[in-house]
Amino acid sequence: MPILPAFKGEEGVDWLTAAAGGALAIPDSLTSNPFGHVSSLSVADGLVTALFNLTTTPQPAVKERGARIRLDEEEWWTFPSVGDADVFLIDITTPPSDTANGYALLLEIGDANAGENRGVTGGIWWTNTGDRAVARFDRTVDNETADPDGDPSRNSTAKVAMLILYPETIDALIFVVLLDSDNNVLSADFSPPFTNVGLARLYINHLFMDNGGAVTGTDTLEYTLSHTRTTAADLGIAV
Amino acid sequence: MSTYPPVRDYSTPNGWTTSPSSGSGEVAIPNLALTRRILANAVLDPFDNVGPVTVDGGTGEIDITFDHTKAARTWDFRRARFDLEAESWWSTPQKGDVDIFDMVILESPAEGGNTFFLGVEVGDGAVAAENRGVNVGIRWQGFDRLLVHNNQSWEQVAAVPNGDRTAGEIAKVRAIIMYGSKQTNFAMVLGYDSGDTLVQSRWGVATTNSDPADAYLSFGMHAKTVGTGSSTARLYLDHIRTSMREIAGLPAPP
Repeated sequence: MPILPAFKGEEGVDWLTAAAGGALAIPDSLTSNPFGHVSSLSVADGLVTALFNLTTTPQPAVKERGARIRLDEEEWWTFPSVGDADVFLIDITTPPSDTANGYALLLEIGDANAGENRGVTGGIWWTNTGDRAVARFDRTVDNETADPDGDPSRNSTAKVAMLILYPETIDALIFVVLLDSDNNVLSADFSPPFTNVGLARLYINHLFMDNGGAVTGTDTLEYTLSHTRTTAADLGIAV
Repeated sequence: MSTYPPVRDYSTPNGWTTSPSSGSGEVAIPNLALTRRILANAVLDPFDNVGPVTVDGGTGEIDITFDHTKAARTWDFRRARFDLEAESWWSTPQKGDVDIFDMVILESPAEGGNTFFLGVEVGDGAVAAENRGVNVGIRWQGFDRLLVHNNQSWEQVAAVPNGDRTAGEIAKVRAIIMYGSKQTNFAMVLGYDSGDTLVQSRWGVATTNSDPADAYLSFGMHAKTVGTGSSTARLYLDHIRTSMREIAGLPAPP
C-alpha cells in the first residue's frame, strides 16, 4: 500500500501524534465512485493523483458525494472522543486546470449511513468565480456562498487547513481555512452544529461539479493529505 | 476517574463511555504557549453590580467580590468588565485567527443561593453597550455550568445532557474562539477539574455581526436569594492569539 508521509514539519513545528506514530497510509483505490467522476486515482509517496473524467455528469451541489476514499479504515485513524481535536492539512500540488469547470475536494466525517454522510464536511470548492472554503454539516444542506469580499482567485489556494472539534453537546464542528502558497489566509469558514449519530465514517471526497469548460478528456488534481490527532487541551499549552 | 466525563465514544454508535481521551495530551505544540495576562486597565461596572475588584500587578491574580447587597441584573445586560481590547497585548482578530483563553479559577463564589457568571466576550464595536459577539464562560449557582452563546446577552443556557458539575469542580475554563470570513466568530468552551481532566464542554452558535472589535472579561451577579454578605471569585486570565495556520504547523508568510 502506498504510504502517505506524515506531515514532516519542515515548514513549521512538528505535528503531534501522526508524526510520532510514523507515516499515514491511504489506499490507492476509491471506495465508491457513484458518478464516475474520477477515472483514475493513484497514490505515490503520499501524492494523490486524481483524474476528473470530464465526460461524466457533474453534480452541482457540495452535498453530493463523489468519488471517495474511506479513510476511517486506515490504521492511523481512531474515532475521536469528546475533547479531541483533529487537524487536517491538504497540500494542493496541482489544482484542476480548467477554470471554467467546477470541482470540490472535501473531507467528510459522519455517521455510517451508506448513502449519506450526515456529519461535517470541510474542504475546497473550485468554482467558476474562484476558490471557496466549504464548511458544512449534514449533507442535505446547500452550497456555500462566496465570502463577503468575493471568492479568492481561482486556483490561488495552495493549502486547506482544517480543525475538527468534538464538544459534548454535538458530534463535531469544523473550521476550514484556505491559504495561498505563502500561507496567507484567503478565506475561513466554520460549520453550523449538527447532532446526528456517531462518527463512524471518514472520507476524502472528489466531486466534479460544473462542466462549463471542457467536456472531454480529464483534468488532473494532485494533493497530499496530512493529519494529526490532538486534544483541545493541547491546542495551547497552559501557563 | 469516577463516573465522569461520560464522553461519547464514536466507535460505538451513540455510545457513551467513561473513558475520556482528553485533558492529558501526549505532546504539545511548542510555540503555542499561553501567556498570563496582567490586566492594566480599570474595571467598569455600569450597573454597580459587584463589589471591589482588584488585579495583582505582579501575579496577575484577579480578585472579584460579589457583593450580595448589590442589585442583581437579568441575564441580558452587560455587567462589570475589563476592556480587553484596551490592553496592550490585544489586537483585532483577523479571519483564520484563533484565540485561546484559560480562565484559571482559584476560587469560585461560595454562595450557592445566588447566581454569578464569569466569561470572555468578543464582538463588535458598533453599539457601545452591546457586545454582539460570542460570550464564553461559566455560571455558578450552587453548581458549575459552562456558558457559550452568541450576541450580546449573557443568557442562560440549558444544562448539558450529562448534567451540571458540582459547585467548585471546574477549575479551568478554556475558551477557543475562531474567526471566519462570513461570520464574526464562533466558540467552543471546555471545563477541566483541578486534575486537568475534562469534565464539561459545549459550543456556541456562530455570530453574524460586524467585526470583532471589542473584547471583555465580564462578570456579574444575575439573581439572588441571599441579600447579605459577599462571595469571592479569584482567577488568572491566560491567553494566546494563534491561528489555523499555526495550528497546522505552517510558517508565517514572508
